[in-house]
Amino acid sequence: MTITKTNLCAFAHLAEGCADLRSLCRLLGCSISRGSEIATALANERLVVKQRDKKPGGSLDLSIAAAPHARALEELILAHPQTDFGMVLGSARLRLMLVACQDWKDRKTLSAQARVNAKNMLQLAKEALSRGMLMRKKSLFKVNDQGWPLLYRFLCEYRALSSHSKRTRWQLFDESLIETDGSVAVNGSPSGFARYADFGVPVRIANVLYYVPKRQLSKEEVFAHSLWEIKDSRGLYLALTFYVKNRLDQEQVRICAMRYDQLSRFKELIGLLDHRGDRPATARLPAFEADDFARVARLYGVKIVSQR
Amino acid sequence: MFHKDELDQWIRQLAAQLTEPCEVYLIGGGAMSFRGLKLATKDIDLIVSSKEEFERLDRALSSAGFSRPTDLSGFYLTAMSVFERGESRIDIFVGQVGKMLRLTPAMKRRAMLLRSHGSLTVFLCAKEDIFLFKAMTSRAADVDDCAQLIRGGLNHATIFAECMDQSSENRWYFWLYEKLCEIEQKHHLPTPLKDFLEPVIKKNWKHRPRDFLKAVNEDAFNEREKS
Repeated sequence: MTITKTNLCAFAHLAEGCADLRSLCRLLGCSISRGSEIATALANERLVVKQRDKKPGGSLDLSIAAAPHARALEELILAHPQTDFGMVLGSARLRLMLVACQDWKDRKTLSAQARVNAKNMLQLAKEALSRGMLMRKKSLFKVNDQGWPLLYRFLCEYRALSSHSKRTRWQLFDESLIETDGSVAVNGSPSGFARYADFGVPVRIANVLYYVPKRQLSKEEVFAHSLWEIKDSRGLYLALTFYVKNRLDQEQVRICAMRYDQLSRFKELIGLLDHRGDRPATARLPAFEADDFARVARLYGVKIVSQR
Repeated sequence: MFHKDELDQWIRQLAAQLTEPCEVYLIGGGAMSFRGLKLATKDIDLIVSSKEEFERLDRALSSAGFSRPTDLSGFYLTAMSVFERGESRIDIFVGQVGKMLRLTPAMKRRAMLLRSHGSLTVFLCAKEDIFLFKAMTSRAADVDDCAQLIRGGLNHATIFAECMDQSSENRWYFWLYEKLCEIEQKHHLPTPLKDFLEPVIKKNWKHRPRDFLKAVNEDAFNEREKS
């Protein structure tokens, strides 16, 4: 999942109306064989469609693919013709932006997931920060979805490119969380609510969340994955109960939550435990009522002391 | 309105009327047009370094059919003059724009030679300086232009250094910070420049203008008051 600066430049020419390989090579100032390599690389990323003209000696026609991420990138480039996207999306920079697109992450997490050197991370992010594409809040970074909605859309579509199905709850490069009702076999490790029973909080569920690729998961990871499954107040109370009952280390969970794009939700969830009201407002989580939470927690042997 | 091709044509016409050397620095919408950041501009903003150069331009523009509604008796107070021909308008500043920022040697070094026709040499100010000049105005359209400049990529350290260099007598950094807040509020575009300015704003808080941050929103103003 990488697009080089040259390939982005080539894509920009195609978005602006260039329609065949010869014209593209003229614009790029490269040989036909080099242009052909670039076109193939773009086709492999499903950004471009190649079509050989059937006439003898005919040209190779190139067009923007119909895939959502290709259309999104085309729209982005056409909306901002003065921006050199090679400076912000070329190669490792694209990986960085993909990792930072959904939620706030620190340098260490960004570097590890984008597979870039931690020392170089700020240098790679410099152009994106300068243009307001990447936001920085103290030590955390995130793609600016409000200021650059087209960029955000492209990144989300590109991230979902290798998504297995509509049941993918989360995806980043070769890691994913897939939800299934059992009708589809998934070669992964069960996680989330499906694993709560292993840690003293048995839960009845209709769907099972799997982490792919298959491996041993820590209870912090199981908890972080379950944040993706919270759809209603019941799920919220179960997650809170799991957190309290297992005395999870807040910092360890924070790191896991960041990894799986759930930091904002996790911060809100922790805020609920410290809140002194009956019904604190929630932005990213379902409605919370202290008495209902206390009742659910008691079922699992967890006593919640009222902070009112 | 001036489109890029019309600007080029206009520069040639002006050069044809000039008999003595004149160096002008293009800022504002005209400069953005030449940089491909704007399709057209309502007026052209030029800076010259001396009264002598202004007088040469004054004669050349009059020969080219422009009229000057500005009374020259008030000119040297404002250091700005306006020339009009039909719907076209040219604003000329001498050394300083709107009695605020000056055209400094550093800005001149950053400027790019755009055109040289006969006696006329036109320099295109750097994007960072275009941004800085636009950040000092109270025009709503300039917030949008500033956002456009940010999206295209700016060297924020250069803007900060220039602003601080020019802030020894007047604290222009308050104006710049307020503009950045307006841009962030309207276009959701945060920049590293705001991070550079915040310690300076905090340090000089008691010297802030009375209406500081009023243009952004009351909440931002009140939060700062509390801290």
